[in-house]
This record gives sequence, C-alpha cells and structure tokens, in this order.
Amino acid sequence: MYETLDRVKANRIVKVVDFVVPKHHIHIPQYIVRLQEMGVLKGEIIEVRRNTGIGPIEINVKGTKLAIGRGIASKIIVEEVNE
Amino acid sequence: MNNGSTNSHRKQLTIALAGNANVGKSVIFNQLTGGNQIIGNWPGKTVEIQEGYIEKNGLKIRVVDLPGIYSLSTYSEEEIVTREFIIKERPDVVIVVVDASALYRNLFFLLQILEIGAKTVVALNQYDLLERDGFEIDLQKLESLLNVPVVKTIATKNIGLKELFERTLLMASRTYVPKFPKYGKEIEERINKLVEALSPYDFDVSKRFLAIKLLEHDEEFEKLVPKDILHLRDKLAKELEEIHGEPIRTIIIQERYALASRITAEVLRKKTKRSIDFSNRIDDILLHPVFGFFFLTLILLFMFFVVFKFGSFLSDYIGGLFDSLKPHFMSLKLDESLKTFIWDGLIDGLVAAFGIVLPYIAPFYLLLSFLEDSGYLARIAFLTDAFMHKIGIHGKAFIPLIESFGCNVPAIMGTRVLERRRDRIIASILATLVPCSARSVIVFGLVAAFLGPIYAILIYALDFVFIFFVGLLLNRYLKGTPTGLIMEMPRYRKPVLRIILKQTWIRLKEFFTFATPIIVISNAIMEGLILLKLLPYLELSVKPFAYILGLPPLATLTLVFGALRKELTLIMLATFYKTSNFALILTPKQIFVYGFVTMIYIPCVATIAMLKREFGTRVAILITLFEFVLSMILGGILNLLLRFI
Ligand SMILES: Nc1nc2c(ncn2[C@@H]2O[C@H](COP(=O)(O)OP(=O)(O)O)[C@@H](O)[C@H]2O)c(=O)[nH]1
Ligand SMILES: [Mg+2]
Repeated sequence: MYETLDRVKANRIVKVVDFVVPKHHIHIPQYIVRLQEMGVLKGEIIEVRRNTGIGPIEINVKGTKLAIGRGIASKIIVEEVNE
Repeated sequence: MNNGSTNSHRKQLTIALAGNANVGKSVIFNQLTGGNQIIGNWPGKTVEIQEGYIEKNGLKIRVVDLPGIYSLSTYSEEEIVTREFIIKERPDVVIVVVDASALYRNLFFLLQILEIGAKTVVALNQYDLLERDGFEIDLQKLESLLNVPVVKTIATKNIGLKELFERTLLMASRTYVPKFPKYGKEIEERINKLVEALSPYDFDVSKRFLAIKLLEHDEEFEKLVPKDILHLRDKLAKELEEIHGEPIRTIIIQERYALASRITAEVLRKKTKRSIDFSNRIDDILLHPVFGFFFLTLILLFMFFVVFKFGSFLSDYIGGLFDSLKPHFMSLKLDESLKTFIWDGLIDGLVAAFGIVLPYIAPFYLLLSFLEDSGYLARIAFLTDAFMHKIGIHGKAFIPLIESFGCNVPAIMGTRVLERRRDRIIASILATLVPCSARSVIVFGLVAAFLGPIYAILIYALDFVFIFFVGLLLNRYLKGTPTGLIMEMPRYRKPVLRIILKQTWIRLKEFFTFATPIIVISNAIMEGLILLKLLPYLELSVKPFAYILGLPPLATLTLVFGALRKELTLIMLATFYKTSNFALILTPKQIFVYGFVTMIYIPCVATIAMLKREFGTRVAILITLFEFVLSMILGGILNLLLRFI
C-alpha cells in the first residue's frame, strides 16, 4: 500500500516509491534534488525512526539520520516493506 | 572574485578543507593552524570562510576552512561559495575531510570534488567512530580506486594529522593526472561526447566536471558555453531521460550513489559486532514530544539564568573598573571640554562594548558552542520546526532567535545557518524584535522597577505575540515559498573544552572587530550633538512622535539615542531629567508605552550595520523603516487604549 512518508508510523521500514512533483514544474523542485542528494532516492529502503505526528520525521537512510520537515515528507511516496 | 592577487599567491601554498558538515574540518583546521586564523567573507556572499597561516620550511601555507556542504549544486550559498573557491582561487590541494563512519554518503561529495580535477587528498576522519561501529576500511584499495592519497585521522586526538599534512605537501609538489572512477556506460558515453564538443574551448575546470554540470542543467555553467553545446546537451539529456525514465538531475545523483555504493562495497569490511548506538536512546528522551520540550525549556531557562547572572556580575565589575579610572583621568591637566569629550564620547563607547555587551555575549557564546559541539543544537531545530513553520521559517532559525536575547548583531550573523535568503531575512527581522540584553535592562530598570514585575512580563508577552504576527505577515507577503527542513542529525558527542573555547573566541573576535568601532563612533556623535547644543532642535523634531505616543517630547528624544544603543534610552532619561526616579517623569501608563516602544521601534545602529553587511543597504533601510512605522502605529494604539482604561 502506498502512503506518504509523513503518515508512516515510527519504527517501520519503507521503500521510496516516488516523489510528488507539482505538475507545472519543468525541473524537479530543489528540495527533491536535495533529498536525493542526501540519499533519499527511488527504491531506497529507509527506516522511520521517529514520527510523533507533529514536527519533523526522523529517518535512517544510508547509515545516517536525517530530519525531514512534515511538508517535505508529505511529498515522498513510500511503500511498506515486509521483513 | 579572485582578489586580483593571483601573483602574490604564487610563493605561498593554499590548502582548502572541504567536506560535509560535522565531519571534523574545523578541528583539523585548528590543529593545523594553531592559533592564528581570521574569518573572511567570500565577496558578495555571506558565508564564512576561515583562513589561517602556517610557516613551514620557509613556505607560507594558507589553510582555508570551507563551509560544510553535501553537494556542489546551487542549493545554498555555501555550496556556491565552496565551488567558486575551488574553481576560481584554485587551491594547490583540496583536503576532502570524510566521516569514515558514513563513508557511503561522504563519497557522494568526494566524487564531485574529484570531478573538478583539483589535486585532492582524503582525510578519513572520525576513524575511531568507524572502529567503534565494528568496521574497517581498506586504505590501499580506496587509494587505488580514487587515485588520490587517503589518510586515516582522528582529529580530536591529533592522530594522523601529521601524515595528512605531509602527504598534502607532497601532493602539492607532484604532478597529478586525474583518473576518475567511472559511472554507468550510457552516461559515460554521453559525458565523453560533451567533453569532446568542449575540447576547442578553455575553462577553469576539468571538461568532465563541466560536462556533468551541464547535464545537471546548472545555470552558472550554462552561461559559460556556446548555444550549440547546450543544444547537444539537451539532446543527450533527453536520451538519458528516455533510457532511465527519470529526470536528468535524478539520474546523475543515482549514478553517483551507485558508484559510491560500489566503492564502499569494495573497501568497507565488517570486523566485529556493532555496539549499540546511544544517540538513539538519548533522542528517545530529548526528542520526546513532551519530555523533549520540557528539557528544552529547562536548558533555555538555565542558559538565560547563567547568562544574566554572570553577565550582570561581569558588567558591574567592568563598569566599576572604568568608573574608578574616571577621577584619575579627569584630574589630568587638559582642557575641560576636551576631557569630557574624550571620556563621555570615546571611552564611554568602549565601556559600552566591553562593559555592557561583552559580559552577556561571552557566556552566551560559550554555552552556545557547548550545545553545538554536543550535537544538541540540531535537536533544538528538530523540536521547534513545527512551530517555526507557522512563521515561514524552519527549525534551524530558532537558534539565531535565541541568540538574539543576548544581542541582535551576532544573531543576524547566525541566520547564516539557513539555506535561503528569504528565510534569512525573515529570521533576521524577527531577531531584531527579540529583546536583547540591553532592552531587558530597560524593561527591568523601568517597567519592572516602577510598575511591578507583572507588567514587565506583560511587555515580554506582548512582544512575543507581536513577533509571531510579524512572522505570519512576512511569510504571507514576502515573495517566495518557505523552505522545508532537511537536516542531518549528528551524533551526540562529549564536547571538547579546547574546541568550545576556540569557537567562542573566534565568534567574539568577529563580533568585536565589527561592532566596537560602530558603538564608539555613534557614541562620539551623540556626545558631539550634546556639546554643540543641538538637542533643542532635535527635541522639536520628535514632537509629532511624542504626540502619537503620548509621551513628553524630552522623553521621546531619548529614543533617538536608543537607536545608537538601546540602554542609552534609560541613561539619557536620567540625564535629561536629572533624576532616576522615573515615576516623577512619566505616568504609569507612559512608562508602559515607553517600555513597549523601546522593545521594537528600531534596530540599533550596530544591528542596522550588520543587516546592511548581510543583505545590502536597501534591505537594511526597508527593515528599519518597517519597524519604525509599525512601532509608531502600535505605540499610538496602545496609547489610545490606555487612555480609556
Ligand atoms: N570521535 C571523533 N570526533 C571528532 C573527530 N573529529 C572531529 N570530531 C568531532 O566532530 C564534531 C564536528 O567537528 P567540526 O570540526 O566542527 O566539524 P565541521 O563541521 O566539519 O567543521 C565536533 O564535535 C568534533 O569534536 C574524530 O576524529 N573523532
Ligand atoms: Mg566547521
């Protein structure tokens, strides 16, 4: 089942499926490039370490911890991975 | 951008330190350069570049500590500055400092530096953390894959730095033919086509780097090449997008990571079982939605308590010292009015800088550096992010706002942690509205003393509500969209005292070289006005404002002096009326209006000067006008309201 990252509960493992990109953009928005540069790429398996419903989401990606604001997290589409 | 001094650079060597944030660049920089460094600014940009000099075998070596970044794109000013520095200043060697315990992600950045074609040496720093995690790295293999020297270092223990330095000097003296690790076949083919097309031209960077940047649609580099090359680029990019089904920028990021992943797999070995990560346990408490805020509040309260207790103690002490010198100075055989001018005009300015500002800022910076070094600042940004988004900025902006309680000037410098100019301007405006220690002195000395502490708290509360609404307003009407938070969460670390002291010292030095002349000069101007007996004219000109605020003109006049230094308002009030029993001068309602208006009516000159330095004259003037008009409107409304109570 697909959902956006801001809705994933803590301690779940998910796979990045896609990014929500506004229709009228020619280039992908800067913050998505930045996310990708930090390792949040399609197909990447990430661990959601912290998501309390308010404030940023903390994830573990490529061995580093990243805090992502809720607004940006809601642009990342993920899919739960069964261990 | 080259300072035009390329020639004078010839006899010296320039070594630049580059890498992600928190990898240990600054520690290495300090270990290499010892005590003597300066903070410079890249022309036109407000990113700090620290420089230090070493003498070795008659060679003068300039070491430059570049800002911490994750990529060489144009996401933040720091990235632009770093790549411009490497491309235009052409350091003899770039030391890329890598966090060995996060090799995979650090390689992503390292690969981009290698692409530039500059001579590179890799410092595999924080090697102790890698070993603690139970891993080791095959150095020889990594060296042969990257074709540059790689040195293991533990900067905080000064391990490996001597070797790093020696191999850097060696690298500087030998010739270096870059050999790039290769990406996937489809993309390599197209990079090569572009490189070929670029061959008739001459550039500062390697053609490979330029070709990749062009594929990434990097605007700065697109400007450098002729149209037909851009057409070719468009065609090649389109082909790649069709093959991969992704935007070209994403493809390149993926390729880099794929390469980084291949390299990591070849050199990284598991040795022992991983030990537990305490950071995560600590974060369960410190980032907890309830306890986290509880601790944050405790820590902030503790900080303010220490800063104000220690600050007022130090301030009294230094002030007393100067006071005890004054009679000696006044008994000198000099012209009376000259003596008065020298003391009140010049020395008093110094007293203000060192007796009033320094005592509050020094302990503040000390604690801030402690929090920074421990890793807690990132947690503060995490906790406050949700709230800060309401006013259009993200969690990282909370720190400069806290800094503002000490003094607004360094807080505006502190907004440099934000990536975008829009965020920096919003954060700076809000910072100037936060009551600095000088304004707190006024609220305590006037409102709390004559109306009672409740009213002082009320003024603070009013100010915070005001700040919140200004934030809402700016977020709504300033051009551009708010930036979301994307922040690496560093591990917690045991702060190293030596490093904290160093950081504090560097910050203080920068602040004082900037602010002291401004404070002293504006103090002298004020004294000049008094000596030239120009006050009555000024008093006349503030009459309309006095009317709006419902204050006596002479009391309103003190606000003019407050623009020089906020605490001067109270001092001048006492001077003009020859009493410090302010209840004789102002009614309780007037005291309240006066207290509120001094909080917000204008940034002081040092703050305005800092705004100008960071954002340009236009923005500085606009902010000043904006705050002045707003405060007159609000002060006027408050005055009217109070009449009916
Ligand atoms: N354990 C360990 N910590 C280090 C090492 N080098 C630096 N640090 C710590 O890493 C943190 C970041 O260092 P800093 O030099 O400020 O990083 P910069 O952002 O790259 O300039 C500081 O808390 C240092 O004390 C190292 O080799 N081992
Ligand atoms: Mg640093």
